[in-house]
Formats: sequence, C-alpha cells, structure tokens
Amino acid sequence: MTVRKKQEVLPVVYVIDDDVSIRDGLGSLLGSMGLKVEVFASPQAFLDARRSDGPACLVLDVRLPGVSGLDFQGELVRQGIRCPVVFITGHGDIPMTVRAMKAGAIEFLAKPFRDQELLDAVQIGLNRDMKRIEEEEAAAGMRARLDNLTAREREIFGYVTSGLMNKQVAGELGVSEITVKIHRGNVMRKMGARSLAELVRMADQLDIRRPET
Amino acid sequence: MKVMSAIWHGVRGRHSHSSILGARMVRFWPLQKCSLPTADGRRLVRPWAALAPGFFLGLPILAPLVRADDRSGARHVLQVVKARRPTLWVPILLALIVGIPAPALPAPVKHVLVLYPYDNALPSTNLAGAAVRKRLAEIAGGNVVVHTAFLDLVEYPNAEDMRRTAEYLAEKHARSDFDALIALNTESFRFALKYRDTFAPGVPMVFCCVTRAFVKSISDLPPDVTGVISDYDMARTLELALQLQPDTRHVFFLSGASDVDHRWLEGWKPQIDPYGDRFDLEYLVGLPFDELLDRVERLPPDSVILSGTLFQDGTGRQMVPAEATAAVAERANAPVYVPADPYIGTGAVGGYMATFEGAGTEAADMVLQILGGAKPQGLHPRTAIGQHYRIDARALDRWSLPRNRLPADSVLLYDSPSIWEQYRELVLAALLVIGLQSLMLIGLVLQFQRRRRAEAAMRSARADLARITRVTTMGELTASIAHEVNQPLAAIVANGNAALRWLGHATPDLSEAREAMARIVQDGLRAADVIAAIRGMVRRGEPASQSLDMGDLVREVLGLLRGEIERNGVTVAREIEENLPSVRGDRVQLQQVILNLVMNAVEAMVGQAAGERRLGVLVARDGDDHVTVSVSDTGPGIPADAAARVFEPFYTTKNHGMGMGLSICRTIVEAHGGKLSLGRNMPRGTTFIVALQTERRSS
Repeated sequence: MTVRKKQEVLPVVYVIDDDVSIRDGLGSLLGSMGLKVEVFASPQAFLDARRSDGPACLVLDVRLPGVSGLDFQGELVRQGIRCPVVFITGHGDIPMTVRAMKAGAIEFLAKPFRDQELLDAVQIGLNRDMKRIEEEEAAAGMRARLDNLTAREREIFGYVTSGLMNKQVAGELGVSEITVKIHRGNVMRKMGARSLAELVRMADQLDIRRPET
Repeated sequence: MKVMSAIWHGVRGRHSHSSILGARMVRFWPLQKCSLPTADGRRLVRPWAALAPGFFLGLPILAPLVRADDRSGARHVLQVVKARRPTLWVPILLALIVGIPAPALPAPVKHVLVLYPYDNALPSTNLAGAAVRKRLAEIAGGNVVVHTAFLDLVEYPNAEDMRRTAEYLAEKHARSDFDALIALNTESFRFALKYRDTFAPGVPMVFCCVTRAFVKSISDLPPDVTGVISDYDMARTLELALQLQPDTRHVFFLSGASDVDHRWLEGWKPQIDPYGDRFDLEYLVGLPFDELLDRVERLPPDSVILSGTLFQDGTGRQMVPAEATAAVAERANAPVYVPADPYIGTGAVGGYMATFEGAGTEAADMVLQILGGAKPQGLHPRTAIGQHYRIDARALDRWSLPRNRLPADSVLLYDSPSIWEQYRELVLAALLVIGLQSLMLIGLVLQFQRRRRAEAAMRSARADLARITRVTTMGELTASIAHEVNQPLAAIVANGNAALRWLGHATPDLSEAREAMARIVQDGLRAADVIAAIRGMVRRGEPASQSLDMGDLVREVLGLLRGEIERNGVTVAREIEENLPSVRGDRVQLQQVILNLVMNAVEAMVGQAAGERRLGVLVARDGDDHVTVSVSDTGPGIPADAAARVFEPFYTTKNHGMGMGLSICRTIVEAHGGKLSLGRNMPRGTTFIVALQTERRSS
C-alpha cells in the first residue's frame, strides 16, 4: 500500500496574470507568507509547464487575452486538473462574479484587494486541495484495499453493510453465522474500518451494494 | 417763329436780328450747322444756308408744278423721288441738312481795302488785320475781296509823304471800286480821315484799334465812318501792378521819341499823372535805347515799369515796340507792365487790354453789316468788348508775384497747365481707376482678413471638435481607464503588504522587502504615466509639433486600451519595427487617431466568436520617407459602397457616438501631410493604414 505522505510535497500557488507588475507583486506577497509561488503570463504557459501533484491553488485573472478565465476553468476540469481557483480582476464585472462563483471558484477579488483577502482565499483553496488530495488518497487506499478482498469477502461486505444482521446474511449466503462473523472481521480488518459504521461509510464511498439475487 | 425771323433777317442782312439765336436755339442741330459763332458768343445764321432746308422741304410741294413733258433732268429726278417718296425723302433731307454745306447763291463781289499804318512787322496790326480777313472769309467767302495797303507812316510821316502815299493808292486801285475801307490803328485812321477822298471817295470806313481819345478828338466824325474803339487803359494796367506789388514806391513810364510815341504818351499822361501823388513817378521819354536799358537795370527796389510805345529811340533808331519792350523786360530789375496784347509773351508781366483779334473781328462784322446794306450812320462806334487783364504766367513766376492777388477775371497766358488742367479727363479717369483699384484692394484685403479669421475660427472649431471627440472617447473608455490605473494600484498594494510581511518575519528579509519597494515605485510611475496619457488626450491647446517615435506612440495607446481590449476578449498581434525613423507631429492628435482606429477594430469584432477576435497592429517603415501604422481587425469588413463614405462626418453604423471619429482622423492625418486609407483584411475584416512622412533630418 503506497500512501504518499502529504507533507512530502509542499503546497504551491500558481498565479496566472498577463500583467508583470501583478505577477511580481503577488509573487512577493505570497512568498512572504512562506508559500511556494509559480507565476505564468498566460494559461497556455501554465498548461505547458510541469506541475507537482501536491496541493495547489490557482490565482487567475478572469480576463486574459484571448481566452476568458471561466472558459479556462472549464478547460482545466476537462484536463482533469481539479485545483481550486481564486479569480482576480481589474474590471468590475458583476455578471462574471456570479458565474464564477457558480462554477465553484473559491473567491472573486477585485483589484486592488487587501492582502488578507487574497491570503485567506488562497489558504482556503490550499486547504481544500489538501483535503481533496487526502480524500483522493484515502479513496485510492480504500480501493486498493478493496482489491485485496476475496470474492466472498466482497459479498459479505455488501450484505453486512446493507443493514442485515449476521444471521440474515448467513441465511442469504447459506453459510453459518460464524462464517459470516469471521468474514466480517476479515473485511473490517482488511479495509481498516474500526467500526461497522465506518465500514458502512466505506461501502457508500466505494459504492458497494447488496448483491442482487 | 424765331427761326423764320432769323432766316428772313439773315437774308436781309440784318445780322443784329439773325443773331437773336440764343443759347436755346443753338441746340437745334441743323441750325447749328447753318450758323456761325460771333465774337460775343452769339450765333450768326448764314443767310443762304438757312434757305437750303427750306428748298428741299419745298420740293414735294413744287414737284407737281413740273410739267409732264419737261425733259430736263430735274423732272426725272423728281419723278424718281416721287415714286419712292417715303423711303427716299428722309435720307435725302437728313443728308442735306446735316452734311452738305449750303451752296452760296451768286452775288456781286465786294471789295474792301484794309489800311495798315506801318509795315507787316507790327504785331498789333497784323493780328487785327488777320482777324478781319478771317472773319470776312468766314462769313462772305468768295464774295468779298480784301485788298491791303501798308502805309509806312513811320518812314513817311509828314504831310508831303502822306499825300504821295494817298496818290499812289489812288493810282494803284484806279480800276477798283471799294465798297468799304478798314483803317487799322489810329495812325492809319488819321491818314484815312484826311486823305481817303483821294483814293476811296464816298467809301464807308470802319476804323479798328483806335483810341477813344482820338475818336473824341475828332470834332466832326463823318457820317459814313464808324468803327471799333480800343481803350488802352494804362491806369488799370498800373492798378494791376500796384495790386501785385503793394509795396511799390517808384513808378517809371517808358516812351519812345517819335511823334507817334508822343501822341500815345499824351493820351496816357492824364491817366498816369494822378499817381504821382502817391508814388515817385518818373517818365523816361526819348532816351537812347542803350541808356534806357542801363537805366532800367539799376532801378531802386519797389519799382514798377510801365511801358508805353517805343517806335523810335533817342538816336532815331526805328524799333518794333514789342521787341523793344522785350529787351527792356529782360534787362530790367523791376517788373514791366504793358498796354497791349502783342507786348505780352516776351517778358512783360501783363496789363489791361483787349485782343487785337477781337477788335479785328468786330470791325469785320461791322464791315459785313455795311456791305449787307446797313447804313454806317446807324452803326455807332463802339468799344471793343472783351477788355480784360492779360498776364504772362512765366513773368509772374519770375518776379514771384502772388497769383492770388490777380484780379478775378484775369487771363493767365503761357501758363504751363498742370497735368490736371491739361489732361483733366485723363487724370479723372486715372484717379477713378486708381480709386476703384484701391477700393478693390481694400475689398480684397478685407476679404482676405475675413477669410483668415474664418479659417482661424474653423481651425479652432475643428480643434474643439477633435478635443470633444477625444473627451467623449475617454468618457467611453472610463472603465478601461479605471482598469489601467487599477493594475498598478493593485500591484502597489500587494507589494506594500509583501514588504510589510517580509519585514515582519522573525528575521526580516530585507532584500525581498527592498525589491518590493522598488516595484512599488515603478508601479506608481506607471500609473502616473497612464494618467498623463489620459490628461494629454483631453487637454485643450494648440497642436504642438514634436519629433515622435510611432512605435512608442502605438505602445502607449495600446497600453491605455489594454483594459478595453481584454474586456472584449480580443487578442492583439503587435509588430513594431526596430529603429523607426521619427515623424514630426502632435503626439496627442496622432494618439487620438490610433486610439480611434483600435477602438473601431475592437468594436467591429464584437459579433465574432470568442477566439476569432484578432487585432493586428503593425508599425513599419515604408521606403525612406514614410512610416505606416496598420490596424486590422477580423470583423465583418466594410462593404465597397460604404467604404467611400466611411470618412464622411456624421457617418456611422454604430448606435452610439456621433460618427465623427474617422473624419477627424483623416483631417488630422492629412494635416500632418499623411494619408489615411482602408483596405480588406484576409480572410475577413478591415485594415486601416496610416501613412506619415518621416521627419527630414537637416544635414
């Protein structure tokens, strides 16, 4: 089981703005908070660059030459890049704001913004991303563990988490209750669940159901 | 009625009646042609000429009287004339009245003898005699034959001489009968009175140029003698002198030694002597001529010289009085005044006199009356009219005598008329032309000034309009301008906060903080530049010409418009050549042009799909002498028929703005000596090209 330690990869903030002053200013500001910053002059430059897998947050000017920031956000999702976005703009675009928030942006800041506003938003973003990575890693771990289950164990997983009692599961499968208990224990152990409730949650996450007969 | 009377009396020879033709009648042109002016301004109708119109008017009346079988040419003419009555009468009549002098009807020839007292050297009698001859010829034409006799009375003055002369005349003219006698001058009159029975018995006599004194002295003037008296008023001549020279103290009277001279002097002395009370009067009589000349050269100041006659000097030398007076006038140191016309012109100032021509003409008129049948008794001797002051302008100027002291009706002779007098009409015309030209010049100058003012007003209005357009555009670009200012402001805030945080670390990172501060300064200046550019766009003021780099200018405009460009999702492809030659012009105005073109391009692409909005800006050199700025868009393009109108004022396809932008742009570009044109962009869209002349470098 390979679970990468999230602390090994530093969080990074990506800044995309075509104005060099903004890039330098934000770079310095975020840097002074001890954050790792990478600046890009255009979305294409960002896409072309090699990126780390650690938690990241994107600070993006909503109006960039050629492509709108929102469209770029859609492009990112299509490419499987799910880091959160903080939009900044020099224009006072109200409609844009609404659309951006609806599309899931962390925040929409109008220049010039207070430093704290940006930092808070970035922090939220990074936290969210960290959480997402955790969740993804956790999910990946779970799936890996799921693969370790035998077929029978998988069945038991499904029945046990569907709200049936051991006796009922035994009756369904035609095995003894003890067998069910032993399988359940194995499943719990293999899956790393510490309680039935946890197992049920896992089943939800993994989308395990009671097998149909 | 008057015309008929005139004709009647003209025929009868009663000139006094025919002369009734006054000024009004004279205007009747046909009569003008048939009449002649007399010396006193009246008109004399030619008796026979007056008949001519009557003759031809009477033709139609007489025509029927011509017998049918008369084969004379007259009948033929009359028939022709009758046949063509209306069309022929009028031209014939007019021709006759207007052109053809009336034929003189045959009449008996008259003979007139003119007596000259001396010879043909004396100007006075020459003038009078010539006038007589001329007058007689004028009126009577070939009907009067003029004979002349020169009596040489100076050479042959005594009784014996005169008798011989009379007999000589009688012999000479034995076979001629004279109808009238004219005696010119007192001396010939005197001779004729005494001796005319010898050579012209019973012939009526008319005297001419004879003094009143002499005529009065004749106790019994024969009834067939009459004539024209000439007054030689020396007193009035002296008065003229005194008027011109009010400071006169000495008066000198010159006279010759001959009997003739003495007689003249005796006639004048009574006129002059009374002046001896007021002035120092001296008579210089009968001096030898050289002595006389010496004398007059050394006269005291404030002197006046009156010249009588000088037929003979103290040495017995014969002289022509006029020439003698001329010599005196030349040598004298005082002005000379003379009694008669022939003396004027050779140095004398002038005097009171009548012309000899006038007297001669009058005498001739009297002779004509007598020849015409008037009785001499009915004609009283009369004074030659027309006596007046005659002055030689040159002598006046020589002695610096004041013209404004001349008597009112003086005749100024030998006055070189000024240009004004000589060419009055020409001068007036020239003045008129000059005046009109001056008026025209003034008019042109005023018009020019007005045009200049109008042009200045127009320039000012244009400048205002351009500025208003800029201001309006700036207003429309407020959001974009705010964006442009916002960017550096946001950077400043970020850098400032960054610096604070760097400094707030446990170990402050000074280099990072310093860098942040430096960036703050840069960004502040950048914001200031934007403000300055905007301020420049909206400033009022005269266009200022400076050396410009079009690349910088375009960059600045694009910077100003970046917000707008971004907001519209337009991509900019910018190409600015290196080392562009400079262009001379007004920065703000040219920026206005580029700004307008870029804004137009952006607005043109509004309808295009998001990725299809491409703005192209190219700044390049074109040959050695031009720089071009091309602004292209990928909009729908401009159709050919609208392309021509695009630069018109007020033409717009937008639903906002005045449509002034492109027309102002073109005006600005052309004012800079450049050209603004448009063309198609491929595959679609429009390209506007601004071509500007490079600044010539003074080598």
